[in-house]
Amino acid sequence: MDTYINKIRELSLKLLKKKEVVKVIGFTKGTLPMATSPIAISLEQDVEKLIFNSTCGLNLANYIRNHKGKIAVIAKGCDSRNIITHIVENQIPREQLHIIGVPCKGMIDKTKVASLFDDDIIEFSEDNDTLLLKSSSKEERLNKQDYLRENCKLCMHKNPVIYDDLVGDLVDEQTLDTPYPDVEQIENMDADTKWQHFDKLTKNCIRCYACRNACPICYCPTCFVDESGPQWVGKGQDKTDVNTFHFLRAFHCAGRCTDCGACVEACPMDINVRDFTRKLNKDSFELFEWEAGLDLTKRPPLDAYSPNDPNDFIK
Amino acid sequence: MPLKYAINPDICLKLTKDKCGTCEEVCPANAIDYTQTEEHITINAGSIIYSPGFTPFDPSKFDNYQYANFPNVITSMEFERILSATGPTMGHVTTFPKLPLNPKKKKDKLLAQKRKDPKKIAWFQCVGSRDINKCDNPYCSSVCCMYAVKEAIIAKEHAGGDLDCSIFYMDMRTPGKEFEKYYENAKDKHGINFIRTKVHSVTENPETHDLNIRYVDDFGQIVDDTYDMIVLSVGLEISEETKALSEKLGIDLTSNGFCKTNSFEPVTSSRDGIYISGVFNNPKDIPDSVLDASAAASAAGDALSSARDTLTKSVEKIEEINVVGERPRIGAFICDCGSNIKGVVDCEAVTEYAKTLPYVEFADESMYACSQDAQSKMVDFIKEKNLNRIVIAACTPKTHEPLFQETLANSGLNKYLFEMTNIRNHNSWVHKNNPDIATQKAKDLVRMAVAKAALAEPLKEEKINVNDSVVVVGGGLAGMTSAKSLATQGYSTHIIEKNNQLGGEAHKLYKTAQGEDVQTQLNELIKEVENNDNITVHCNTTLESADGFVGNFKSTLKSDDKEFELEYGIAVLATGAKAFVPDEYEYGNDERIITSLDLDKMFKVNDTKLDTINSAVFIQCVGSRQPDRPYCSRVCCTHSIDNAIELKKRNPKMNVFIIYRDIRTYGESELLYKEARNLGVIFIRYEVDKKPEVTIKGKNLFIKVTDHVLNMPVEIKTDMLTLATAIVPRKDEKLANFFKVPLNDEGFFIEKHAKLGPAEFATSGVFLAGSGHYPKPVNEAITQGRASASRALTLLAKKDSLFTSGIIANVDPLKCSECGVCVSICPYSAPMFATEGRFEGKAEVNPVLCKGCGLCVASCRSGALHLRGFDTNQIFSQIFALGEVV
Amino acid sequence: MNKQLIGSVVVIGGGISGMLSALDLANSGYYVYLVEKGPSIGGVMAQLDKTFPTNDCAM
Repeated sequence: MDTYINKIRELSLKLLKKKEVVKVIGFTKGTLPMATSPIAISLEQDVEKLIFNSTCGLNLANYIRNHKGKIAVIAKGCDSRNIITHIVENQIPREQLHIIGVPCKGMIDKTKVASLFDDDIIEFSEDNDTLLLKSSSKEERLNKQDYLRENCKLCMHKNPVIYDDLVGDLVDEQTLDTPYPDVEQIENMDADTKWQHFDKLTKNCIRCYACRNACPICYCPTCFVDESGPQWVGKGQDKTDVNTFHFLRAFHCAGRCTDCGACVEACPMDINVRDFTRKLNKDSFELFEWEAGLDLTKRPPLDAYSPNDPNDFIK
Repeated sequence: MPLKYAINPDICLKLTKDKCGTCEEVCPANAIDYTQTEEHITINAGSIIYSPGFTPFDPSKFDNYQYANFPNVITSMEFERILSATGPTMGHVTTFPKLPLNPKKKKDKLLAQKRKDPKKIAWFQCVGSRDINKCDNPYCSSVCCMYAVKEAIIAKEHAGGDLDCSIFYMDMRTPGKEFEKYYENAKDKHGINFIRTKVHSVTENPETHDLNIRYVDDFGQIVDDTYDMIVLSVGLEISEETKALSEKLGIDLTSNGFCKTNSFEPVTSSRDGIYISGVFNNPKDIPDSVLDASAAASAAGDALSSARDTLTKSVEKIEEINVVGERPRIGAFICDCGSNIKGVVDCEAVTEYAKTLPYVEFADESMYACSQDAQSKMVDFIKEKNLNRIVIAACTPKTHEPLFQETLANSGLNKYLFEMTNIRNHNSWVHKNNPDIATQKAKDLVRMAVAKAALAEPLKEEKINVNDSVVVVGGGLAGMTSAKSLATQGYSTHIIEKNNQLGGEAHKLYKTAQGEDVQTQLNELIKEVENNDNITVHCNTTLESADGFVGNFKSTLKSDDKEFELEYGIAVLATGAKAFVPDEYEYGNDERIITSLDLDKMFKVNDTKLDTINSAVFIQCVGSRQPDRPYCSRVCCTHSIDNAIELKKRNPKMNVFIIYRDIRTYGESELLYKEARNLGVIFIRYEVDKKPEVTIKGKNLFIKVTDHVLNMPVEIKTDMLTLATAIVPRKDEKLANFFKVPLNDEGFFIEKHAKLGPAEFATSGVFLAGSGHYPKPVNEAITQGRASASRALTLLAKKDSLFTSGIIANVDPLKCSECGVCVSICPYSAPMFATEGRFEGKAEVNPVLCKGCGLCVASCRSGALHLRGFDTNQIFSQIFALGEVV
Repeated sequence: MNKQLIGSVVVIGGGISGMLSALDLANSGYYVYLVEKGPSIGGVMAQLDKTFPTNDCAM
């Protein structure tokens, strides 16, 4: 990871020095161990603040909109795919971006790691595939591969799809025969079990909208949940309203979600929001042979009108 | 079945004996007036269009089918009424259909007890058509094969799966657009039986009235069968009355009573100033009649073009009142529709209820809200009560919305301050047996309509500026005809032709089916077009782009290596079709194996090779009616038969064979088929899975085919083999994309409406003519050329009063996230990004291009798009109003 | 001789074909007299149930 960090800082410094970009968007150390937060650097001396490790689970594409001047952004595979989605959806022109690509080795599931400890973790570091964790009562050395986030385990696009620089050699991509085992499991449930599954899933939701805020493709000026005329959905904790929020948000992500996991990363109640979006990703893949964010020239299938649509209803 | 009731003066007691008078008393609309008498009116007019139609053939005189005596033998026209929901059995297929539902006579009552749902129905084709034995109609009526297939399919739909439908036919004639697929589906998907035979006679079981028939099947076996019902597919006939009037009008008829026309002026009668259309012109189906109608209008108009706009009247426009910012004052009008609604719904209670709803200032019940007096009363109420929103609870907006909107406009209200709710079709008709619930539902519907109307806003219709020049793409027969008519009516017209001369495929033809020489008349037409001052011909030119919309198109044209731009308001696509190049029957391996067009060429130049031929064979359906090209090419049967006759006339000793699947000489072309048989042309049928085999053995050419009569293979030695090749579309996807018009699976253009809009596209301002629509002979191409001109003319004539609809999408720029879904999803390219101003980068909708379909509104994740007239808050208010407890 | 043309047309027959001829002409600037011998216009098409090949309602 250190080589990545050094390269990120070196490239950022060069870009800022030559005034090729006005700022660099990357990750910096958070206030707690295992926490990182997005940062925008515009001064040369601040490049030392930039870091990169297995806890950089947020999606930096979420922060590239509405800047003046050219910006650089650190991009993992999923970040780069959302950057493509942004370009396709007119959120930023390609020319305004300098993409520093990071071949990703997977992000860790912080909740799973934390659950090994009864008290607070006070130190986190990593050495290749080994995670080192310390609390006031014990120390643990863990194999990173055992603690990868669910989306990272199933990831088939670890390398950035689009980039101007790379901070390291491209990593090997995995191909999966069943890329959606989790969705299939839900699909195979009978109606009652399915109902219970989703009931349980959203039971703890507190409507904080952290998932929406962390999601790079949730960029509407006014989200439908905040709109009052018309009021699409009630504001309270009513089960119907909570589910309406999650269902509708998922549908707005259909064909656009890259399964970056930022929503799950951001959720304070540990809700696996991906259960909603993944089903639509699977459908997009199976019905339209579509994976979001791989092609700068194509719009998501549900965004485009075609007189030759394969569906009969359109004729 | 007239749409309005009328009094038969010969029977009416009031008129004959001055008794009764009941109808005047009971008619709630006071529509009965016994004092009306015959009047003679003299009209001076510039042209006459004679469109007298046909009468269905009366099969009573056929003693072998006993239509007059057997109650379960009926005509196709009667069956049509039985299938109809408004017919005597309300769509229920039953035996003894002609008996009253509740018969009064004792004899009828006994019969009615034997009534049952039929399990087996047979259709007999060609009753009164293709028949000079039992009647004098040698022609084909063109429509019966298709309507019989349709009736069989619908009958099965009505009766459920186990109804057995059989169609007894001679040749299955489905040569129209999408017809062949319909026929194939009838066989494969709907399980309709098709039996190729002519049934000799029908007998009846006197007890059950079931019908016994006997026929010879395809293998020569005699079959006896019993059916519950037999439908006689009666042909189309010209009535004696029509023939008599034609004589008075002084127009020439064919021996069968149809109007005599020239293929190049297919809607012009022999009498100057009289134009004809419809079946009177030749037996034809609805879309062809519709094309005739417009073509006749074009021909009649061409003759009077200098007097255009001299006698028409214009409507006075009333100043619109500004209601913006006013509190809604809703007027609710509840219609009884005679007893249609009031018979079920308590309209008085609904009216009283409406008065209690928020914002409703006034509510009124009327017997017929659409009647003239109710309309003028409505105007008075609007003015008197100062109403600013109107709700009508009546029938369907599909038919009546424009009428009520006109009433609003007459009272100075914007026509969109209006909401119509359907308490008839959606309520009184479907809840006949539950009047209480129906009344409750009517209240719910009115409450929802009021809630929506309260939020209605006046909408603006944008004026469309129309450039009144026309571009015709394709300079073949259809394109030239269209251009000529538009130019005659005074519009500047450009013909874009990619070849170096006008005329297109017609240059390759020898004669029309009516025997006219094609080249002479074609060259005359070309000369006329080239000499017309209003027509600019661009040969060797292609269309490279097309942008814009109705009235405002812009194209780049390329001629040789030069490019130039053209602005125009109307486009006619007449790009035609081409001959299929055969990939079977040894085509290309022997110079004696040719296509129909090659043979035409030999006739045209009077090729001496023709004199050396002793035996000629034609193979039909080469490339047509097979899985990869499932349509019928329409013209080839007539074309081959015509050419066979020509060969026989040149050398009566020549052996001429036509190897065919079904002979499809529709209309009066059937007479050619008869003539060919009389001249000794031999017809041999083949099945698609048993195609003829062609072999070249040294100097000789052999065709092997299984003869359907002998059921044995026969080998014909021939000197010439003509392949009747399919007509294939150009499948011009580029052009289709330019004008946003669709192509069907085979690559023909898809018209606006298969029945009622065959010469235009759904895209406003773009019209269609010629074989790009579907293969067609000379006269039909010219008819469609004229029809497209007439349709275009109706648009051009409205040049100064062309407005968009007020119901279009608009963008709230503050909510727009600039994601571009609306831009990419719109089939009409209406939304685009603003390129300047405060909201640069946000989406905006071009009101002229927007069709108000709502696709962008539904697709906008940010809720920035709104459909005017159907705004989200209006829909929500309706939904919430539905949920309110009364 | 320049005969004065009359800008009106008589359409005889109020079936589908006659009705559409009349509409086209009226919309292109000619006055139309539509003459029908029956009590209502609509002709044979109004008596049909459905139309081929789309199975649309004829009314």
